[in-house]
Amino acid sequence: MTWIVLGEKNGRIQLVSKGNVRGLLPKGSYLTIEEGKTKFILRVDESQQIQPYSPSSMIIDMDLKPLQQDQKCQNIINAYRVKDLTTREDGLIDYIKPQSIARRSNQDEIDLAMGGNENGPRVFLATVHSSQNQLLIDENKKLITTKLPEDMFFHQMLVCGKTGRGKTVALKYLAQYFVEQLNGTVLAINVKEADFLKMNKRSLTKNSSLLNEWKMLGEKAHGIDNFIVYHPATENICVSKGIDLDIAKPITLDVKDIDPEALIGLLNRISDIGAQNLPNIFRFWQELRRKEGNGDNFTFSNFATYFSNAENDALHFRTLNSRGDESDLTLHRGTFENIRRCFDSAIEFFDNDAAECLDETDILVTGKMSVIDVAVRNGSQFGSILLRHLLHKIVNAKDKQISNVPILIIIDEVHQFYNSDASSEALGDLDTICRTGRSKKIGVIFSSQNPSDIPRGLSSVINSKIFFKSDTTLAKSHGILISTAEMESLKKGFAAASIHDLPQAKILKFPLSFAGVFEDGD
Amino acid sequence: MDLQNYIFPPNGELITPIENISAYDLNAKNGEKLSNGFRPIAAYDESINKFAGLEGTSYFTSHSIILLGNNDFLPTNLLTLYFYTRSKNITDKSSYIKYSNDPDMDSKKDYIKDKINFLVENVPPKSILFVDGPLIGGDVYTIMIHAINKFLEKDTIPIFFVKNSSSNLVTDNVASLKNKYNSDMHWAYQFLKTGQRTSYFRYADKVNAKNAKIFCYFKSFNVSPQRVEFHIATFDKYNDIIPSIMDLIHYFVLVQGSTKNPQVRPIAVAEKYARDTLNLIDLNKLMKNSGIIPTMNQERFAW
Repeated sequence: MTWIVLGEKNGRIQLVSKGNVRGLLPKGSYLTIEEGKTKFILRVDESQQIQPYSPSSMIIDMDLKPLQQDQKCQNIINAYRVKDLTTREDGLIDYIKPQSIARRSNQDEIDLAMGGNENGPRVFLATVHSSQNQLLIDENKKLITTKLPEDMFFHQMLVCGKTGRGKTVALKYLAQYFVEQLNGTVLAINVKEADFLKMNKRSLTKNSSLLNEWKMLGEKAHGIDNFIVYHPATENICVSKGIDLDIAKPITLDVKDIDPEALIGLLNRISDIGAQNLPNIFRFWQELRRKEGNGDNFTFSNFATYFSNAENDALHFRTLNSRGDESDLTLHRGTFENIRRCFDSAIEFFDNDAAECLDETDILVTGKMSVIDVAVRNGSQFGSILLRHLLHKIVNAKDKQISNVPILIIIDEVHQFYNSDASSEALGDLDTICRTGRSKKIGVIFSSQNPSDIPRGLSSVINSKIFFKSDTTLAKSHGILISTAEMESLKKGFAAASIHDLPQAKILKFPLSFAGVFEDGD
Repeated sequence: MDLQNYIFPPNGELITPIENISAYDLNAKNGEKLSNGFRPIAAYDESINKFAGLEGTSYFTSHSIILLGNNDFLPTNLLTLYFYTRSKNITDKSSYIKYSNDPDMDSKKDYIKDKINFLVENVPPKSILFVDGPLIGGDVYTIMIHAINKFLEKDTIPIFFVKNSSSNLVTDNVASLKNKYNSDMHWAYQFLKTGQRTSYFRYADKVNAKNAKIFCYFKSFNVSPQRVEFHIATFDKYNDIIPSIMDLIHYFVLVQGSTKNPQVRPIAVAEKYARDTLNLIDLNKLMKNSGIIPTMNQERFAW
């Protein structure tokens, strides 16, 4: 199949199909033009049919058959040149001459056009054309893939999409790559059902096209070897969610060790400034107990009582800030009541003797995937505190170079843990990670049905965005160039993307994750 | 191109209608069936650019043949460029420049010769050939007869179409129609309903009756009719399938589907290719770049 260059118009190369082309080349496909040793690789931006003979419709209206010859169609293409492979040294750019012949690009040429990433999770390049999703193929009908750059993990990512469109499956695929190929560690927060809880098991599917994709990648379904699900000791998820006993580990929060800033995770509907008071009040109490060395009184329940007793002292508190300065403050009655109410539901997560406390040494292990299951009663509060606590510990460990294991943190429905309008102070270590993740090898993937759930201050530091079928307006506001019709027609697993350091990849299809996905009927 | 001086046969007269003067229905459905697989179908049209200069006149012509392929129209084109001048000084400088006392007449002769030779050489055997323009007589009469014989040897059926004509071969020679109509076309338009043809008429050489054409008028849409011409040898040889061919012609005019340009569809496509290939060279620019000074009318109206 070949196309002929007509010329350049408005910065795009126009081509028309030769007679051997029997259909439209979908938008997003790649074409190669060879001229001697020079090659030009083009990406199809528009693809339409034209009818060179423009037959009249009158004959059909008369119930007569049309002339077959009149029904000839041709494919007119507008394409961007994305890569010139030239030996030219005079500083000029080669012409793409009219009447040059173009053909579909092969995998090697597309790799060059994409920037030639040697490593990275492989995804399929895809197109959306006339409300149809298709995987790109070469002349030999082989699926075209590209490697997402590994560096994208450390420039923060956003994955959006409506329920059931492939968002979680893609996250699992990326997580498995990070653990197995990058020798990193993954910390994922499971917020609903058993989404991330069975990554130790190999995926199951009977879908022939998905199986073909695996075959094409040279991969087979397999679970993650080192996989642990951490869950609040108050819940027995092994029974309720069918999790293997040997990978489930109950955990608790230790009031003696908890980072005071992590307690902000408890608070809802309190202003940032109001919320900032709690860590200093808690830190003062924590230091007091440490000095007293009284184990019996060193529980979260005891702190809750200590806090409530302030009612007898006109809501007056002694505080200790992170620099070690003592001070006094008086809480507003509303703030006081609000904090006190939050304690009621949090007490059960602390100081459970039958469970262990989680810290950074449990997480920062090469080749391990850790999932914290917060899809339980009051789980978001538990998750909020634990996530803040762990992030603080991880940042500390990285700062002190105690660990150099790359870590990927997957936070689903981040708004459950951080307010969408949280200030950078309220975001704390999360803000630090997002801005300095690259140097510390910490990556964060935010996942949400609604991208506006992402804390506003972090939007600007998220460099890769992957949108499965979701709201077009929101996608556009994140720099995804896709029409409403195209977005609406994205099938399961297909996504519009803007990937860090991979600007040519516009529509992607993620392979089925090798672990933790169980297709209906299997 | 006006070929009034090239009427075929040159010394002709309308002898007789060869069937009752009446209107005959055409069957487009039958034509539709014949359009695919009956015989190969070819069509011819041309397009001409003229440049009138002080030094002489040039004619740039695209002759176009279309063959109906399996899924596409297959084009063949011949481009010719002639320059005619009365200046010996100019013709002495190049053998490609033609000396002519009457460039208009000479250009027509060259055009007709090129057209006929092009058709004879490129139309496939056993085909039906639709040609835009009349059967040609005049000075090139012998070439025309030679071509007709060649076509018949190849089992090719040449059929000629005249869209615009003020001739009154019928209305001047049929007593009941005399002085009642401006032209044959005028008569045929009023006489025919859409989807009908007139009876066939024979127009023959006064001396040699074998030099004759058979023609009729047909009306596919309610617009000016067209004349279809057969050489008598063609008509005689293919007499049994002529009615089917007329149905095919009617179908092709319906396929064209334009009341503004109601041509046989393959001829209309041949015309598109003729026009497009003519645009490959800008004659105006070519002549000016060659130093030919355009006449005032050439500058104002071109051709």
